Amino acid sequence: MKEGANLSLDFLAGFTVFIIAFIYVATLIPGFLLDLQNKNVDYNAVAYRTGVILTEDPGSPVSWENPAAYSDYFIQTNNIRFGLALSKDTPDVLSIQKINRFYCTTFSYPTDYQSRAVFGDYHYLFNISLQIAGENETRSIGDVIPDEYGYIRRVVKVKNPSNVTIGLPVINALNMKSTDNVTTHPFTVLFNSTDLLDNTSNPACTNPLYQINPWQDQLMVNLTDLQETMGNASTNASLVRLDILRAQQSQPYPNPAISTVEFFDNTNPPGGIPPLFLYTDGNSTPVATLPVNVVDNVSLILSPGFFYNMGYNTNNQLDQQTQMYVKYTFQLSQNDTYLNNTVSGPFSYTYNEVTPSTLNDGVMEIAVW
Amino acid sequence: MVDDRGQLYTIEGFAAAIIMVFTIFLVLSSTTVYTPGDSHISNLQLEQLGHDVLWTMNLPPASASAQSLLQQYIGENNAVSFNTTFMNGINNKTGFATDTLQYSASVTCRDGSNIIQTPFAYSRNMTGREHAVRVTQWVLVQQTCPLSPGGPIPGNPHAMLVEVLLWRE
Repeated sequence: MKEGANLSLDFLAGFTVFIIAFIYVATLIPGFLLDLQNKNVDYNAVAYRTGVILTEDPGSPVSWENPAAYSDYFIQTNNIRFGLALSKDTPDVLSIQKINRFYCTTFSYPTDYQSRAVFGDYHYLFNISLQIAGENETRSIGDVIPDEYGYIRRVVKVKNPSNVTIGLPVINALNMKSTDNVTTHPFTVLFNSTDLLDNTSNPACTNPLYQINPWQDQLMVNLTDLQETMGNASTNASLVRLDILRAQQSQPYPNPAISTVEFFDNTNPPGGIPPLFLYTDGNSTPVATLPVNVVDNVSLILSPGFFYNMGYNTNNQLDQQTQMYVKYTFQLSQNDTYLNNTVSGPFSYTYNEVTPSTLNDGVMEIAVW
Repeated sequence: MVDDRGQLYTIEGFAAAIIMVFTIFLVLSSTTVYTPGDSHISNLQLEQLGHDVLWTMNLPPASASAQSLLQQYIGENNAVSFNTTFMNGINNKTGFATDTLQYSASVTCRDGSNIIQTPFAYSRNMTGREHAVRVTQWVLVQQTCPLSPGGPIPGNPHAMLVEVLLWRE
């Protein structure tokens, strides 16, 4: 600056360059800060995406959890996607079968989950935990969560499987106690797929939230008060046979679907059929072989998809009209009365008779880093 | 470094500039800068959680023809039970620890040509300083508009909007 207070051209040029540079840098600052937070934003986005995939999508194929339809080998080697929702129309309502399959030990952390649920080019680590109301144990897969991670929490409902308890009131009401004094007493349960899936007058049939699907869901039958169906307290009873029967349009009379179940090998069920579990008199260990002595109650749990492969007709298509039966055969030590529905007909596993599926509260937390 | 007219040599100027820029970068990298993007994520997490809780409360627990908890609570004008269920929903986590989220809920309905909004339940009074997010859920209940304390009124269905403001304490 000269004595006349005039600005020099040098100063003007320099100041202009400085101002332009300053404005340019100022416009870059938001992006500059965003880059600093890029990792955190990315982790949160991946956690959110994983939460949506798991809680709002049924996965692909939709019955990926069904071991009868898709073997471990198929799931491990094919391009499937995990999803725990019952269907795409029921977000936030999870299938207990899918949950059990998702947290089972046949999948290895992290690789099987990275390619089927978390996705992304970067190999994210994660922890996915689920707490279902009423359960003491938290289901969890993944590592210990570090200090910095992306996070999402989802509140869900979990659809529990149906079950039926056939006790003395039901036995008397449906006249399922034999008046004949004999030593052999059959008892048959019909899993009526027509009534469970095709009864349009029942809104539960078409609503996946409350539907009982005998081809895919876990099914449970509890026989109780058996001692009270006997006339003589000194009679001993044993379960000697368990037959799985089916009736199809081409073969209407119930025919054996698989050979008589006398031996239970739960680690290697016959023909890839999911296992069944049989418990007697409150024992926590399932029965391994038949015959087995029975005092007062028998519980039978058919794993999800137990009937799936038996529902195919002669054209190798799943026939929804196929009716499945489970026939118990009890042997008594002497002639006596007992649970027996030969005359009254099979007990029908339908919405009116069973404890229907219920929705339990649950919360899922997903951490990604 | 400096000549007799007080001017920096060019090369030393560049070196000083690089050192300054590098120092600024180190400082910014070592501190957490709360950007608008971070605020958006926090809001999204809250909105998703609030939506999940209202949505699951609006599902009948056992049968397609039964009432949902949300229908039941609004129908009975039962703010106490709503508070218990909603607080459990937004604050329960998978471990033993729980969150400390707070909420304030209102119910909006139409009575003829009037739109009436009435406070329904809250865990804390709002002071106006909360950074709250808003979640809503439509519910069809057998009730009058505004809600009457007498419980459900059969044959009088009203579509009501449950609106919840949700914030971190």
